Amino acid sequence: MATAVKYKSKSKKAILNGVVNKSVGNYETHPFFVKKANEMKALIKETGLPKKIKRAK
Amino acid sequence: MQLPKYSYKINEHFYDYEFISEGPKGSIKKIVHFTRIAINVFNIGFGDLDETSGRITDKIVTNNSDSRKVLATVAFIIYDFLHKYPEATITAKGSTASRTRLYRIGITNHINEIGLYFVIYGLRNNNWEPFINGKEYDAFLIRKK
Repeated sequence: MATAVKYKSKSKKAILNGVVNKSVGNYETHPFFVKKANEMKALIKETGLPKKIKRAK
Repeated sequence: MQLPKYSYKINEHFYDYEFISEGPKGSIKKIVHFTRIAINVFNIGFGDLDETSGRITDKIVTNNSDSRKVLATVAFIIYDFLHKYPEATITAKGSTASRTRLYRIGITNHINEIGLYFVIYGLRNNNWEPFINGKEYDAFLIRKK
C-alpha cells in the first residue's frame, strides 16, 4: 500500500512528494552500499568531522 | 526548488528510495540508500540496479540524457530524508573524481536555494570547510540548518 507523504518547504510555496511504498527494497546489506559506506567511514576516521557538526552531535 | 525531477518511492524507514530514469537508453532503475556510518551520520549512495543480476553500479556512464534530472531527484530525496531525520548529517562522495565534480557543479548551480535550508561542507586537502563556489572538493557533507 502506498502512502503519499507531503512536506512543505520553509517558504510554504513548494511541496515535495515521496510515496512511501512497502515494495521498495531494503538495500542495507547490499555490497554496493556497504562498500561505499566503509570507504566513507575510513575517510571520516582520517579527517574527522567539522567541529560545528561534532558539537551538534 | 523548482526543478524537473522523477517521482520516487520511499521505504517505510526512509533509508531506501527507488526511481526510474527514462531516456534514449530506456528505463533504468535507480536506487538511493542512506547507510548509517556513525551516530546521526549517514552516507548517501546511489546507482543503477540491474534487476536480472541484482548488481548495483555507478561506474557505468548511463548517459540517458537526464543527468540533471537525476541529480535533482537525489536532491529532493536528501531533503525528504533530512525532514524525516532533522538531526542527521549526510556524507557524499562520487565513485570517481569526475562524478564528485558533477556533484560539486550541481551544488554550485543551486547554492542560493540549497543554502536557505542546508549547511554544506566540502573536503579539501583532508580538511572540511564551508562550501565555496569554484573550489574543488573530494567529498561533501550536508546538514539541515
